[in-house]
Amino acid sequence: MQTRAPRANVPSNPAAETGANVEECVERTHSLALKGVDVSYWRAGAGAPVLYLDAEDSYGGREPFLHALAQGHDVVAPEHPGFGRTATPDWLKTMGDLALFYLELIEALNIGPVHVVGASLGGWAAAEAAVRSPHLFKSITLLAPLGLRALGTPFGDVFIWTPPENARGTFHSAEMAQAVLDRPMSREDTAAALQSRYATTRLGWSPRFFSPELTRWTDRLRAPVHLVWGDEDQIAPIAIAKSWTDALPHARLSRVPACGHLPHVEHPQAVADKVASFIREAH
Amino acid sequence: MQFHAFHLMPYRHLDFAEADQHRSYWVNLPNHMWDRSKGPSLYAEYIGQLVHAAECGFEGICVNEHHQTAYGLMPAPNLIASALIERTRGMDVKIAIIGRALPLVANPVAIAEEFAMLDNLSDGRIIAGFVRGIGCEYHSSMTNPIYSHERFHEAHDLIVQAWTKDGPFPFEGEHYNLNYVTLWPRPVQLPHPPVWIPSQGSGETIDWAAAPERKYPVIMAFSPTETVVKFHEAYRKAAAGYGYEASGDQLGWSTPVYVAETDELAAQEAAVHIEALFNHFFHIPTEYLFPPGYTSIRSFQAMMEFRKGLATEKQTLSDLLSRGNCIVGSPKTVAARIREVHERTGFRIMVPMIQFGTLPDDLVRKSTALFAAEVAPQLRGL
Repeated sequence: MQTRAPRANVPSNPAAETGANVEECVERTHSLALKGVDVSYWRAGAGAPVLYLDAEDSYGGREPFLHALAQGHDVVAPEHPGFGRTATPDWLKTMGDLALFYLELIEALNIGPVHVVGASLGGWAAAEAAVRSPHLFKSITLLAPLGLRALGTPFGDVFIWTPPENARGTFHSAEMAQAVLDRPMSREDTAAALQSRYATTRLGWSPRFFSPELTRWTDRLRAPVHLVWGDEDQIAPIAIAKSWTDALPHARLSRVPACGHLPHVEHPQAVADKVASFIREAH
Repeated sequence: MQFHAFHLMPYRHLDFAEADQHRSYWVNLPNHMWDRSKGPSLYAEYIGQLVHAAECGFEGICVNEHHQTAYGLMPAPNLIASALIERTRGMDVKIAIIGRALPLVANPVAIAEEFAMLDNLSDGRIIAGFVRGIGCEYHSSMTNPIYSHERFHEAHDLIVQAWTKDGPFPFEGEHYNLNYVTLWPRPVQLPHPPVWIPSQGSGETIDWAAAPERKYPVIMAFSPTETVVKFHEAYRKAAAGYGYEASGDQLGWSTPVYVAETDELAAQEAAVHIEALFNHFFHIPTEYLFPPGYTSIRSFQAMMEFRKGLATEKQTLSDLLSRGNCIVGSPKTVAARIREVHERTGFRIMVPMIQFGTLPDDLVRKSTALFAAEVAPQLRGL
């Protein structure tokens, strides 16, 4: 692993970057025009390619996890179309659209078959992509994914929660919840967070955070599946993990004690270690 | 000027002390607070009040649609409209349903059909209203608010075509797709029942309603006077932009109104009831009122910044009067308030909400009669 260069927003030549460059270990933000979207993606590390699909809102806290994961992997972490600072393309209507977009991205970057790691809504997108093209995935790691429901255990209603309730419902650590509430937000930051919330509504309002179609096709998740779930998750309560393990009897479930809905943000190193070890076994 | 009496039909027997403990009066207010013994008499009382307004000489009586809330008990306003039609048979009074929430239904043809039935039942006395529904309705029905505007516009087009075009015809949309649209019955009024658009004043709605192919009256509801004036002006400006001058018959104002013999008596009789409306029934958190997509991100941010500056304390009648959120006073005072806004905007559709909050039957009827006898005649020629 080479020394990490300071993060830079480098406007890049997409043609020069569509090939995976395993020699490149510096951390950079790239952009790529794909399906009418200027996709911005973070990339760092060297090794087996890992596609990281973010949660609908990681509260700006995904980087320690990504840095840890980039020790030994070529990590590609795009911003979802329609989320954050990325415009909403006309074609984005359902999670199926997002899944097909990521199949396009895997092909465009030539990183398949890939290890995918998806958090919450990103986990849902990963599963939707993997049932469509199982051969493009070497392993599937889902961090408290949305996408399947458990009867009798509704998802936390993030749309009626106030911002403080959302922070407290996301993190088990009260300090962490307070820290995200206290972090300075420019008007642009707030607009980007709203953009993600609107996109989450577009894709997940109804049926709320699950897909009946995915439910019927989980047997097409043919790569090894690893579920990582916070014991104290209030958005996707741990009871929902059973829907996944019932559907996927060979899946591994790693429970994370004292942890809410974003295990990779709340316990970045421990979760990165679990993820890395699973990827190593699956490789 | 024409006068139309409006009713929300709130659950006025609510235990506010308990209801205030809950997150909202909308969407998920526990319904063990509903007293089954009071429902039948409450509907009878409210329907009676609207029929009384018709008997007193109002040009129209109005109902609207809300779901899962103590604020208004008309999830299916056309049922009430149907009862009102029978109770006012032979009278020259309009029945205005302002409005049905179009995006919430799976097949808007059902709304076209219901209105066509009502138009026949009333022999052409209905006014149809179209709304998106307030944000809460998207939480209770789980309709995706991102598509609220799209579904509203598409459902509107489908309904107007169903009323006006010879069927069967296919409708090919993004949200609604039907191979055969052919209404049985067809509406009585030509080219179709009048359409009113109740609004909180979104610029997009005003531009859309004012377009020459529609010229729908917009009824500004629940806004402070200055906001009503601003949006009437916006409508006039939009019309001018389309190359015509808006008529006062395209501009409406709906607000709670209470009339008594003197200003003092009116304030004394109305205060607790109007405060119940604004301080209790309107208890709606931002997240309920503005689900993502119900407004654009830009309007949402502007609105949040605006609301930051607002006091969250309980509002008194005098606060509400000073902002013009309601009209309370003697016939002379009430007429003067309406005339003042008319002089500024030229609006000609006045929609007084004759009952509000906990206002009991005897006071509703006294105020309604005074309005009809002593306020409306002073203004009708405007």
